[in-house]
Amino acid sequence: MTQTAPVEIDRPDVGEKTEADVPWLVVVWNDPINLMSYVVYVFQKLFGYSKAKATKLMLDVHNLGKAVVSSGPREKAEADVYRLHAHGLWATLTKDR
Amino acid sequence: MLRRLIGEYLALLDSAADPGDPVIGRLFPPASLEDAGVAASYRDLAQDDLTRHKRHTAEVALGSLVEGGGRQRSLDDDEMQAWLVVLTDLRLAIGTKQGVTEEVMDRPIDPNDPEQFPLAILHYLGALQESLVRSLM
Repeated sequence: MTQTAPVEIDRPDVGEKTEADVPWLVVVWNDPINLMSYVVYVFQKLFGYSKAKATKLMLDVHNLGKAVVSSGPREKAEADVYRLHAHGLWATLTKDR
Repeated sequence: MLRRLIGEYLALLDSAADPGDPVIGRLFPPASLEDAGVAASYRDLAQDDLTRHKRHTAEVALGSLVEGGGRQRSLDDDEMQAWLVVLTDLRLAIGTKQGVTEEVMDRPIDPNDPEQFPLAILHYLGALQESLVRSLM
């Protein structure tokens, strides 16, 4: 067995998250038309939240103008935005910074 | 009336979706307010599917309407879910077109004022939707 010269390995910087790992937030925005009861129902239906939690989120949307309703990797956030749009709610996704 | 409203809604979906149209803008809102790239990539991904989904949902609802006001039949789960969504979209379309605000929604309507007719429909559809939600909760 011959001795080979040590090879330099390019270590990935494990402190750096990849784009896919950055959590994304799903935000629902207030609108003057949708019924409060309907919004609560949609949050329960889409995310399995309890009625209490869904009601709190709806009130945040109503009183504060918006609320974060879910989070996760980008694909999940996009899917959540899609389901919310399919129920007539206005949702956007944004990076959790 | 519901049949006519849904018909108009389907026509709106079928027409070349004009992003400048505020109703289209509300039914297919941007997925990001701060990042045009995110919004564009979501739109490419989702717009066609969402349009198809909305059209299919409206057709399910339309199909459940009984011809000529004959014998009523109860809605199955899919139909109830479809109506829930269709009623929302109809209200969004009317409300957006009328430019309603929270304040407008809270104001009582004068039933004798023909200009307030769309608002009256908005409230009527809202009452329908409310009772549907209650029955599902």
